[in-house]
Amino acid sequence: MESLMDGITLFLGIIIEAFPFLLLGSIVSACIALFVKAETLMKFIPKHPLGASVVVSLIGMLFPVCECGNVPVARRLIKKGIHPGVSMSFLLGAPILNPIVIITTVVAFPDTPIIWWGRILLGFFIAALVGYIFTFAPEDSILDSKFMKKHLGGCSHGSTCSHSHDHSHDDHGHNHNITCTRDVIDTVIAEFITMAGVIIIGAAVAAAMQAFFPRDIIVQLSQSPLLSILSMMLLAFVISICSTTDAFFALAYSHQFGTAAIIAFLVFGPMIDVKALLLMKTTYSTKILVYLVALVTLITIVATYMFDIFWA
Amino acid sequence: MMKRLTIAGLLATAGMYLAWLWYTGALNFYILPRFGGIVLATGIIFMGLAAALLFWKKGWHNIEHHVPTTSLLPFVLLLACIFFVAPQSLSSVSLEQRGADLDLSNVKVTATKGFIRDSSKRTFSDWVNILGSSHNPRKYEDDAVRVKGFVYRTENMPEDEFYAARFLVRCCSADASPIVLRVKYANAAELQNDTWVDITGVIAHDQNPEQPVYIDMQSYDIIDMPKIPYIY
Repeated sequence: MESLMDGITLFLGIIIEAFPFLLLGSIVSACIALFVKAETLMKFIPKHPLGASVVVSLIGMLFPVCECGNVPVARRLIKKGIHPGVSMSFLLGAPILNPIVIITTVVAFPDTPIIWWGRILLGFFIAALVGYIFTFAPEDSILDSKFMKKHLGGCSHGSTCSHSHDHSHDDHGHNHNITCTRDVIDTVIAEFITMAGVIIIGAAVAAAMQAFFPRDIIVQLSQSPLLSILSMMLLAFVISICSTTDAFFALAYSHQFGTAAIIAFLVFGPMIDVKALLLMKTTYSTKILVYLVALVTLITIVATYMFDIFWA
Repeated sequence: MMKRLTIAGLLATAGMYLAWLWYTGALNFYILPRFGGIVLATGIIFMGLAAALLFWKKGWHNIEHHVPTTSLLPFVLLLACIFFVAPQSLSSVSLEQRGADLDLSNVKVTATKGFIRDSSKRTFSDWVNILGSSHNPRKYEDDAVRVKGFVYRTENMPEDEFYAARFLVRCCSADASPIVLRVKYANAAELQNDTWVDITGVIAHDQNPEQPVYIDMQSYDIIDMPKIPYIY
């Protein structure tokens, strides 16, 4: 019973912390939807898939959205005509490369620049590379069929129609005024409610895992550098905490775990965790999410393990 | 129309709940106090959005056509927690789940600014920082201590020992990490877990390999949980 009560406190803690960021992400998404023309956006995105992945992963530096708020923005980018694979660069990059996260990481580890540089560079590398890899996949296979049907009219950009599907109102020639308050509110609420439903489930799963799965067991796995990296990644996946504060959390483990394991925690957690995966499922297909998790996991392990061998 | 009204009801409830948590101070059980303003602002925005949904009856294209009805179902879980569970802080069960790290050397907590000469006025956080950062914590031996924490005892502990515990929170309750100070008291076994105590004693040390410095408790008062139960 006490575990259940603590589980509810954890659940509400995650929800209360996530809702402001989710609302912010929904507002950013609505602003892009209503005030940014697809053509204007595409002007800044290189045509080459690699260039596009690099640029889009860096867009995260402009938005203070963590992993709760980035999915609404990524969905909006897809609706504006960006390749779904490239949108993953934003999805993976934004929670690490946004200014708040960079500042909190520097504040948490002021004497260990290798940790914040490691986080920024590895985060950027994974975001750009994984996004680029997914540009080779057919768009239909990347996106969730329900999302495609509902928001893209059932067609991907490269197949049956090539225009963008999300239009600022004047793009479409509708008689709506794009600055209309109601349009903004309508878009914000629709985006927020859709995502909030998912985040509630994600928070419940994450809270249950925390309440009933002893954290100590994960930490005790730190027998070797490789196991340390794996256990910190597993911890990041289970606890699902916000990337804007996870550096302070990692600080508490920095005497038990090596630098490589801490970097793995700080890079992997914001990209892949329980609630983030559920949020992504609203937009991307299950198959592609399995590949995504496998790729991010593999690159994080290889990169941090190499770091441990050759540097740390 | 039903969807519009349902969403208005959900937003209004969530908004009022956040504002109520902020007003009563119960928000401190879930999130860092400095995020209170952001949470309150979110609650007010929710209420504003709900009011807009009720005020304008038409023109909600995205809400009516793009919000799946199934995405409203998880809110039942949230509403159940809001209406049927009283706000409460984490307990010793979470401490047990997470494991208490006795090494204070790597813990940084927000403590009182400046060095407090009168050792009995140092808070739990002050002592965590002092003992954790000092190369020779034994120099504080015999310093008077007065700290507040909740009792945590395991069956394996000696009968004259318990931990005075607090949760260190960086953002929300999900990232809480237990911080403990070892306390010696002849009748420690009579203290129940999760009881909040105001401890008076002195700093002492023994050969314990994990936390050689401990509080030799001379007296204690059972107190209510502090308004801000966590440390930051």
